[in-house]
Amino acid sequence: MKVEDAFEIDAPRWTIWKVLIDPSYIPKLFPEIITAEMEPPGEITAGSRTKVYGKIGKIRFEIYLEFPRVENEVCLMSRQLPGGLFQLFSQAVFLEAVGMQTRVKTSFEFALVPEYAAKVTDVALFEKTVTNNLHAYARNLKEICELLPLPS
Amino acid sequence: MVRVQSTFLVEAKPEAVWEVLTDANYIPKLYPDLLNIKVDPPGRAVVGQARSLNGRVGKRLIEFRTRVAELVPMKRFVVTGRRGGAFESFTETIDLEGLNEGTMVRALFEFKVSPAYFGPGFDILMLNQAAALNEEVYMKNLKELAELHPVSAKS
Repeated sequence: MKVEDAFEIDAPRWTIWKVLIDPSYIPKLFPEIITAEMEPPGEITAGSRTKVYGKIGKIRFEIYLEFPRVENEVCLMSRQLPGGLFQLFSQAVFLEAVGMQTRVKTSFEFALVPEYAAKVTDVALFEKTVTNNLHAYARNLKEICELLPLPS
Repeated sequence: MVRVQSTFLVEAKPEAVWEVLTDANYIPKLYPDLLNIKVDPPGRAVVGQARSLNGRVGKRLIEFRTRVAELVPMKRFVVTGRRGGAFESFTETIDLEGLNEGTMVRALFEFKVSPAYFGPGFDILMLNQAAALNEEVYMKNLKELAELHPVSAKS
């Protein structure tokens, strides 16, 4: 399945980039993601890997990802590593400056591992939950990046 | 000083609750209005670990600074505030007691929002209420996260 969004954020690219490469924001961007453990620890760079824990209902699942393309203030891409919930998972986020705003395009593609899918009683509902999470990513990224500092 | 306290049963072993409490990666998921966290030294909680957090109040980005003050494995977890940031004072005390049916958690939060940090444009009563609501949701989230069951494709 493919989920795509395009939207504008009222913030410069560097503000959005700071959020994108800070793994501690991942659980805030995806509603059903709980934690993201980076290898190596710290900011996301090209070649970084992460083990992500998520939840659906009372079940905790894992996703293993690597970041093959991390192009400063332009593009962040991740893709599935073997193991975990998904047979296929890829994410691409593109940033383009439009004055003081930023145009953002997000694209996700996912497919469940068949062994997991066999345990899910309602695959369509499960896929809808994942799809909703991926759309929420766009909303949350916009909301977080548009926060303002306290007036000095 | 505002106090928020609650005692509740988590249907999981103390080890599962401890795992959530001491892994700072869970913090943004436990508190609804916290966004991200940096810890020094990196990794699992140790006494003295400094925590710097960003959060939000409405459309505003705010900062918090805390420190892990006390750790008694599987029994007690205490975090206190550091100078600077949104709280003038902050203490979080979580006590765990293992039972046959799970873990009894006693949580106590005591805090005072810093008027100097926010300045004159903010209603301190509203900020205290927002913080108290976050502590209440923290307890619900701690229970929910500690009670999750792992899924295995093979089992």
